[in-house]
Amino acid sequence: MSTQFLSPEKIKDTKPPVIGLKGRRIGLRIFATVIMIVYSVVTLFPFYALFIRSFVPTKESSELHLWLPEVQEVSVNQEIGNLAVFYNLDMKAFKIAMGIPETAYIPSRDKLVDVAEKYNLNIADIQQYFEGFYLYNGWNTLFRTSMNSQTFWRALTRTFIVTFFSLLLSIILSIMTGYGLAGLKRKDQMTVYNIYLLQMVIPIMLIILPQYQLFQWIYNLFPQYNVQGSAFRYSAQLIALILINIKGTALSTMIFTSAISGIPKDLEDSAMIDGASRIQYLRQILFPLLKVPIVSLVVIQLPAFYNQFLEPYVYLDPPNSTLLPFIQSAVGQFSTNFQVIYAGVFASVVPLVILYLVFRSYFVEGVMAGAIKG
Amino acid sequence: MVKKTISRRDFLRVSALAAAGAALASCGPKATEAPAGGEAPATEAPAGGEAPPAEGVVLDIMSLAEYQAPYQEIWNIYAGENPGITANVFAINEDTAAAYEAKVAGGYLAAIELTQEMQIFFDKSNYEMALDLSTLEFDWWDRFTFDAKNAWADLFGLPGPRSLDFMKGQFMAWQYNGDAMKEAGLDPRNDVRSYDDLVKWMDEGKAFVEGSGGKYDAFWKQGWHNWIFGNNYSECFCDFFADGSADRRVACWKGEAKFNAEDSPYRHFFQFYLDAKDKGWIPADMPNLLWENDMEATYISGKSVMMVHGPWVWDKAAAAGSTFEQVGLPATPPVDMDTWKQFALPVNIDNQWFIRAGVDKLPIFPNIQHAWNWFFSPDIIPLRCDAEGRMPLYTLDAPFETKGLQWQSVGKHIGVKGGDFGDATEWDEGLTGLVMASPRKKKGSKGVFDWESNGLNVWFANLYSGKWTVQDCLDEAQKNYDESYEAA
Repeated sequence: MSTQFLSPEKIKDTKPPVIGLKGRRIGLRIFATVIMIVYSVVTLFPFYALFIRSFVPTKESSELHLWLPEVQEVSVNQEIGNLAVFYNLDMKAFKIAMGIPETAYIPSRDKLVDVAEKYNLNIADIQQYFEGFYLYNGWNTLFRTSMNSQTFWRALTRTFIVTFFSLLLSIILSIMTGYGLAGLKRKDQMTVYNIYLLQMVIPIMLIILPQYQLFQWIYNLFPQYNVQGSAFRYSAQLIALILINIKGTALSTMIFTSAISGIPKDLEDSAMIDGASRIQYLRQILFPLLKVPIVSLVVIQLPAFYNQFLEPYVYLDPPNSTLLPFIQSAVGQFSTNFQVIYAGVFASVVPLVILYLVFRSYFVEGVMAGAIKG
Repeated sequence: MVKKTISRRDFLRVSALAAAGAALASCGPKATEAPAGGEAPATEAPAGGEAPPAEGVVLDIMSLAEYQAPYQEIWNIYAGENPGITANVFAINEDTAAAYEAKVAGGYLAAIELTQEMQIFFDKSNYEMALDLSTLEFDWWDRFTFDAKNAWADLFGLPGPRSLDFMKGQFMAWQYNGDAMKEAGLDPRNDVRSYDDLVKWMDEGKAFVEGSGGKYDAFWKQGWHNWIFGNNYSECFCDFFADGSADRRVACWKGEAKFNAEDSPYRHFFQFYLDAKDKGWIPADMPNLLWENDMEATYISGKSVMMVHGPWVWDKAAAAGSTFEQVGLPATPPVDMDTWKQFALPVNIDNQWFIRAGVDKLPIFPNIQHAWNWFFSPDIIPLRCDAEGRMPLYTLDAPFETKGLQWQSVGKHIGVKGGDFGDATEWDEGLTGLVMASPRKKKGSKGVFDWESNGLNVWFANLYSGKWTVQDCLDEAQKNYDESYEAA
């Protein structure tokens, strides 16, 4: 095959491109920027819509709102029971705010004016209490009242505790497991490794019940566990949750076994020659070298632990629950307060987003681990 | 400095001793077990009058999620009357029911539970999961206006009852935006007295909405609900016709008549909803419309004019601040008879409130029994009725009528001479075929209308798309009946 060259005449005749190289670069940059803006909008819009929707009460919910709706105020002729049923009005908080004895029973069908009359309250005080009730109902219910004898803040704190200890302990245990299995040189190491991998084929739904029963069996050895609402019972339930989270999983075992296998054995030998104990070797040499796999595991496990629903729902009593079961408790059979659900979902996402933003450089490192060879 | 170490062998030895100790400890009596020997069994603990000691007792009591707050208010009274007791009202919902049952299977026991969200109906396959309520000391059996103590036991031939309810069954009636109806120039409360009137009303209403310039989305916006279609509408919308009567429907469930016969009473239910779609009364995509988000939300926001609904959306619309007047009408004005029937679900004899087996082994069982007795006492019944806007089937010490809006607008006028709907209205509220046939239902079967797994939704989707005819739906019902029930 012969190579054809353009003659100088032809080159002379060739028209220069309408847009030069610089222009094309700028065009490409603009195009990429537009694509990224569109992508960002598409990604962020659901969060925005979720946020706005948390302010949209039932009456306005059949229309699309891109900004906070204009919402009427609560009428003093509203039946108090209905506000409690459909808008999670916290009767206890209402009584405290109005100076009504907490033990007083307020009939469901009493209107706000009836309550004012019965307890000699100023109507203006009641109206002030209910100012913005419909608009901010989701957020007020979430942050200032309780559902299922449980508040958002307590549920969030428990979620943090469970997530933090689950991550911390699972990392420590996984490093130790990986250290024990590294190299997979012996038959017994391979067997243990395969047993860990076997967990990948066992759905969590299948084992959750026997696991729970096992914990019940153990905990029932302690009489304090059967005292409903006791600190022992609640702590034991949270510990059970952490324990099932930190048990060796196929993923963490794979990550650390392979990462530790890649660390030269000579490093350990030199440490030993220099008089280091195994714990010192693990803590001072191995641990710093495992920064990337640790971050990888955190990236994967953090949202999984934080967003756990089934396990906490089964293991924890309603007043002791974590975030997701708490938010789910706003769903009813006949009626659901969607404002609370949307506010709850949005609020539950925020801490995770903040965490990712703060530690994003680590997470990028973790995600990119293994992507570039060199 | 002396360095203390533990050898691997010592460590293994200590671990083995600890494990053996734990195993031995577990062989001892469980903390939750009832005292053995001469002590009185927990079931003989005092029920009514004197409250048992209650220091630090926490009672977990289930409620419907919606009514959790009013029920907590009610239980606060109990806690106030019984110092030391904490009554913790909690709720589950359809989504979390399975997880809740897993939790119970693992040993969690609430003091008092409610069957609704778990869709438990006590029958021969599951009755032992609840305590036999007739064995508890209970002061109020003679207050019930039906045979609450024996109805379930007589039907199933088993010891019971296993659950208890006292409320008149829910009923579905027309519920409309009175202001919009006036704007349309319609007055169904006075003008609709027969099925023909209803047809005229629907046609005029539809025309009004079409000419409203987008002010209204729909006249009658119907959404999908598996339980209500399969368990309530299916009975209710047969009552237009004399041959759709309760006894003819029960005959199908008893095996004395066929669901797919030419004169099947259930033909009216499917035909009515097919006609409603064909005539444009309801949206053609009804099987895809959500009950709460589409149907209820548009009504509450004033974008649709009416629904056929139970008691709760009357309250829900009021609570949402809907300012329009809410008015109602019995669901099925008659076609070929003088009597205007309104179907109501029968009182629940196989579901509602129950105490799970095993609770009687708890040390706090005497407290639970005391609380149960209190929960069904004449002082508390009216509070519960008003919370849910329903009427009791229970003799109270003073006359009582719930202020619930549906009852006030519709229920109280039915079966009353000179009521708002004339003299000839009647309740259709006897035991349904579904309940009467339940002793013969095979475990795990889908039942006639297959609503539990939402199979009925596919029937309607097929019916509305023209893939199925009304006869196909009835054939499927008969097939399901043959598969799901033992021969009568």
